[in-house]
Amino acid sequence: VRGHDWVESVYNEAIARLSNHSTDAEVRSCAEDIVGDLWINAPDTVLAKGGQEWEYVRRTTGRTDGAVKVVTRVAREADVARQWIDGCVAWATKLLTKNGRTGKAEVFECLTVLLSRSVPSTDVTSLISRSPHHDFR
Amino acid sequence: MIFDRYDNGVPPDLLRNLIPQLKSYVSAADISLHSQALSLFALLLQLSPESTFPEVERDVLEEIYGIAYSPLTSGAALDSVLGFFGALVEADSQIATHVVSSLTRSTPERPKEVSYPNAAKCVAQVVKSYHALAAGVIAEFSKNLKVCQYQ
Repeated sequence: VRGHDWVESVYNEAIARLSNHSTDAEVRSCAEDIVGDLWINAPDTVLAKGGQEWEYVRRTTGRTDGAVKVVTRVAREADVARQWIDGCVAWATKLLTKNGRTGKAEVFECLTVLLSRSVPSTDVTSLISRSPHHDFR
Repeated sequence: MIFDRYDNGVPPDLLRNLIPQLKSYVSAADISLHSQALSLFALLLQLSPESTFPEVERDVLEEIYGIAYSPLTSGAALDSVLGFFGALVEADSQIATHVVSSLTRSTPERPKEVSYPNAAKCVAQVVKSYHALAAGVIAEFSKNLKVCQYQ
């Protein structure tokens, strides 16, 4: 999604809901989903914002299940920077310290997706050498 | 983006916080969560072998032998144990011999609660990940095979 004014408006409305502590849980969950949608589908718009939205999404108190799902989805589908991954790994690690079993499986999945993005699945040099156009003479 | 990821390992400060948390989930108390924790350890051993290996060897490995022996460890849980041993040996092949001897020589307190097929699969995984061990392990284990003649 590019060049549409409504993207900016949707982003601002989502931020307004996320930054307000009295936002209804269901509304908050929708706002978190929207942040994920924008990161996947309108990266040019959200990247220019400096990532403030993640400060609101990645909270460690209250319900965090929706945030875990959004971070997992963005990690899987969007182009993200290493700094973003680092922040999310640190946040998810904090969630592991919370008492109880609830939501832990999802946090583990989130961490796996975040860290797997970093796996050098194919060595760059082997990719080059396998290319039919490879000729460094 | 290939160059923007953890090609050079996970940052030490993240590992310092993450590894102790993962350790707390490695126990037979919750098979599902320890399975996920082991898969993450395997991933960390691939990404940052030098930082992760010593911690795992010192604090986690003994507990994992017990999990590997358990008859309750099967299916996806066993897969995660096998994946862990594979990653461990690939992180530092010098531990391969030690792992095989620990898996085969340790005598748990209650032999009836030991899954020998699990232990055998773990040994096989170690050998798969470090082929140099194959000849010795096969020679050792083949001593226990009995040849039967059927008429």
